[in-house]
Amino acid sequence: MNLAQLLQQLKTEERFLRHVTRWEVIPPREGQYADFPAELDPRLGEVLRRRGVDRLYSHQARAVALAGQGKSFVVPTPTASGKTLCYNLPVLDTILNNPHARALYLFPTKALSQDQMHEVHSLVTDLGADIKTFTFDGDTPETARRAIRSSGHIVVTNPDMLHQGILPHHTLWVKLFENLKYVVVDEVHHYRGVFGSHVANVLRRLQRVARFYGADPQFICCSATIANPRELAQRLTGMDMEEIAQNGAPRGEKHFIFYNPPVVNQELGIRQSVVKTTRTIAERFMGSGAQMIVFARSRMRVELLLTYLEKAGRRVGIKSGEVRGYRGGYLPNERRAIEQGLRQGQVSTVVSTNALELGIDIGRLDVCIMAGYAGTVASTWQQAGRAGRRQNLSAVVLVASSSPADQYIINHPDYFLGRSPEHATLDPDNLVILMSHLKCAAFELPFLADESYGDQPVGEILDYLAEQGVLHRGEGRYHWMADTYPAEDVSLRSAAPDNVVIIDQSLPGGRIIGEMDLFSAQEMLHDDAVYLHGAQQYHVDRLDWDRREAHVQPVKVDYYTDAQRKSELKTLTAELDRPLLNGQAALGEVGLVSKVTVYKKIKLGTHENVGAGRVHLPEMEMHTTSFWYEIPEVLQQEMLNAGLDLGDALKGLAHLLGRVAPVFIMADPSDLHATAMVRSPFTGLPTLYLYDAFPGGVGYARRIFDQFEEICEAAARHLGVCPCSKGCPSCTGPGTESGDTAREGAAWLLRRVGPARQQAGAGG
Amino acid sequence: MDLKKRLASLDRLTRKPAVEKSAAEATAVRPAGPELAAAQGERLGALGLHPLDPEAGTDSSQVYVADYADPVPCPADTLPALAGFFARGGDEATAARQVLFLDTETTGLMGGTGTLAFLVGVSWWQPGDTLRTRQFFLPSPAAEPRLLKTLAELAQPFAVVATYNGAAFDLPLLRTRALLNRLDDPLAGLAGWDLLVPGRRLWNRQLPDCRQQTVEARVCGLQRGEQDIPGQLIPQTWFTFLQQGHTEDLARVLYHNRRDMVGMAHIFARLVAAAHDLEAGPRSAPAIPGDAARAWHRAWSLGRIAEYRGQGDVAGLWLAEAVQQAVGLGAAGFTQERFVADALRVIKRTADWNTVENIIARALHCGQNGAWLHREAAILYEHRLIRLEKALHHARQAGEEHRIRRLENKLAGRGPVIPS
Repeated sequence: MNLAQLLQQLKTEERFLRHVTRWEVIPPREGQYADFPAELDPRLGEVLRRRGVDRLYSHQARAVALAGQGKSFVVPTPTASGKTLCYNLPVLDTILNNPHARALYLFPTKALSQDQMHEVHSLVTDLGADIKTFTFDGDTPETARRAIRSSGHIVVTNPDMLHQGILPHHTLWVKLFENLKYVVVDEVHHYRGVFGSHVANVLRRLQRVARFYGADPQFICCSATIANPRELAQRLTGMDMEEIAQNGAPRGEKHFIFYNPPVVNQELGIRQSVVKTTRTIAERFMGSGAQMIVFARSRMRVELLLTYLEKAGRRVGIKSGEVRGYRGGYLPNERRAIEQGLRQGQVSTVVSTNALELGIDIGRLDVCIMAGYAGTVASTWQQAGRAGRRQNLSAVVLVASSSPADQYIINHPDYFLGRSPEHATLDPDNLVILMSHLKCAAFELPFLADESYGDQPVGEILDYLAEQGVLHRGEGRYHWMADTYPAEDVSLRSAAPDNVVIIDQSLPGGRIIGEMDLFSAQEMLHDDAVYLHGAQQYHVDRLDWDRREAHVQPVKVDYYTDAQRKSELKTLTAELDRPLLNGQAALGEVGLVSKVTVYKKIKLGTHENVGAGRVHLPEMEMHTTSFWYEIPEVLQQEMLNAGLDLGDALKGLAHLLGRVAPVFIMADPSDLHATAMVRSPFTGLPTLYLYDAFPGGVGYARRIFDQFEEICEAAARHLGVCPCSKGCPSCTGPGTESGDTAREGAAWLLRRVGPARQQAGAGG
Repeated sequence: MDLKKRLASLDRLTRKPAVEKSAAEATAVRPAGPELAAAQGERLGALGLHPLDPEAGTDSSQVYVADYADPVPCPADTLPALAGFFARGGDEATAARQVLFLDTETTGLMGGTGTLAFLVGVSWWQPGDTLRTRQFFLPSPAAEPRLLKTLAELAQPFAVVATYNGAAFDLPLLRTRALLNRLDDPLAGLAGWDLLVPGRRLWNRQLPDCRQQTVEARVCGLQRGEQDIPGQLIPQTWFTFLQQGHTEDLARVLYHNRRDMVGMAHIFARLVAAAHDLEAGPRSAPAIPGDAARAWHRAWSLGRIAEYRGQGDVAGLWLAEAVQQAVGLGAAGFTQERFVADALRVIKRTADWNTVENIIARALHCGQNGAWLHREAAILYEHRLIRLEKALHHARQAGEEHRIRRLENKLAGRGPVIPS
């Protein structure tokens, strides 16, 4: 049975259709084209014609035109819409006409840089021009570096390498910086939150160094579809940006199936596990001979699904080598082999984390199954774009988990299918991040006393650093004044610079099998945890916290572990407030102490709780930005009269908002934490907190402060359609956690504190 | 909360715990403005540093200078051929007086644009075996452009800048600093000779490492005083000076730099002597009285240098000489297999099979018994000297089955063995 036949059959299966909340057939779309622009070097047109491209998509032509006018611009495009030509054409055209010109390409991952380098390289080879293109990353051999620095026309790298390897040694890159005409930043929607705030600062440093050499490069950014690509690109680069809104690429017919697994516990509103459901659906598609990608939300789920699908594959004659896992923690050459296997068809099914969401070339796949919502609409579309890249029939199945964001999307497909509602957020002026990068910048070039950085003066922070003895202030300048290398201490991807290394003790002398950030390590690598890596279970014999080492042994057990983190919150200062929805909304700083205390053992397959243990690890401390909402005291008595418990209601509401809000602010649920207090020591009132999970905050809380009404409306709508009776993980949390009246109480609060227009909707 | 408090609290939470400042440091009151400059000038004066340009007073772009004269024997006027001693060049100077020695003390050892040289020492020979050393000291980063310009003027008449590990560190660092100050490389017109390059070839097998201080002490017999400061403490001395005006440790840095300059000149003289020996050949090289071990190492090192320069024959002579000397010492000097392996590799290329046989015999005599050595012997006797019984004996010692069978067949007058 081929894919078309399988889809036909599924359409007639009542058992399947019962759980489908929407079956959207996205019709094929004709492309919109434009002739090669007259100003483009004719050699480029010739090469493209030889490749069978005799005209451009409209957005590509527009990109060439804007670049020609000296403008910086952002191109929001779906996967496989020819976006690479949007930057390769202007860049190659410029270098063909000025052999001294240089360009810098930035991709969020090393893997993607390698992949894109090959693409540029093949264009250059066809051109027969002397345009040298190199990747420069941690794997570049020392012997090649000198040539790259002096003669690379196009240097392809990632923000981390720019930050640690290029900018602190910019005098070795004089040729590049003096002649820098273009900076290409691909996948900009990736640069949001903490990572984005860091990268924005790396780009500020890049511009500062370029200015020193008299260069003023144009920026070309590409983004997945989000609500605010232009705003994001401007915030990221600090440049005025044009946006190329019209996309001219054609696309094939795509079936987008929204699948909500059945409720298995009516009372608690718990649905069948997303892993189980995905497994069942993926097995159906495996039989169709379609090449398939399955996205899972965590490394652990990748491993679980991989184990299941390998087994299922064997039943339909698919060898286990044709079913592969792909995620961070696998070694680079292992990943390359899998990518190649996908392109050449030896790999028929791949189970991946979002590592394959980015534009790494894995060729055309037919089916994409998402075990859970990818967290953002943009990412979900990117994952979905993995199926049907070459205009054929393709199918995408989104399997919802019980999590509220999933349940929100699965029950409101229009939110997803309509115009993108997502605003990407970043805050380059987060003090922790800003201060880290000011140190790096001062190392690269002394600061002038009146120099501004980004769009604001930074004298006060520089003075602070001078007082700390990190900088030396004298004669109108701030000089770096320490015998360390500041970029080394700043990791763009996490708050903490250290990682825990994972050592397999069963091998002689121990072998390092992976690394993990400190925060996750507390949850996944504590003593006696069962850690999954490469479909292999490992028992953690000991987590040596001080040495940042986890000692593990392979084991075979029928359970996995799930640790729980407990947090305490203290309000420090309020910055902004405004009356809102009959209460008071505020934005300010909070201090948090969190600790992993216990873990549960959960049985594989049935997912039942089969034991627990204690975790003894140090507390993690953090200051961050929080939004909070104070609820007027009068409501407390009213609630009592209505037979509701305020504590339950607040807990339920925190649970609900903590899961609905990320959908709107383009955050991962783990980027944002929600908690509630019946009487906050700071406000003296029942208060609900939603705070950034990163020191100092990167703007999520601020966006919630601005968008809280909208989020409350969505929360009320969501509660209205949730089929549970007394709260479930998808809405106000299971009754056992939030209390039996949590759901009712949260709905009551949303009605009472909410604006008039939502009251009907919240009735549920 | 005001910005400063927020910075402090964020900083405390994200930074790894640092050593607390001592109470004295924390309460030290820094003078400011002209008062500071005058006080600084006085303290620097006590260290022998005086303003480069006394007319300009003590403004912040002033560079401070100290001058020394140390007795260091200058190599004879005409230098021997040094081509092939360094990574590149070697023939840019023909007289020791054309060589400028240079060593910097910096704010960090990791490089990168934010590291600067706060002390630059340069030395050159003056008539009468006197080494003149001049140190340029920065009392503030603002003085850097003037330092670089002055250095360029001073270096201009010289042909070569000699450093110890400067090719990788000091010279690129000065180049970077010049670029950041929008100046030309102050040493652009000079060839760079990095003494570490030949130093490693000459001494790496006889010393635990080839750091300058090791070579100085073990090869040149120089001793440093207790006031010398360990290299990793140097950056902090300057920061302390800038922040608190303390100069105690700075005196140790000046001393350290001066010793580095003198040591470098001594090492250079050793290198020149080695080049002379190399030219003269092993038979006429002056003996090193009472130090047979050093003589053997010297012969061996010169052989390696000759090999590196592509003088295979000369290399063979020196290495054979080295073996000769080593045997004179008895087993003690000849125990390391790698010496024998090096000697064999070079001499085999000269096809001097008798010397090869000699070396193998001596090595075996000194108690070496590795399979590889027997294998070398077996090959020599089978293919070069055609003494099959001896070859068979060594093949058996080496346990080389295939060779044993082939030799047995050859000895029995049979044809070649076809591997089964």
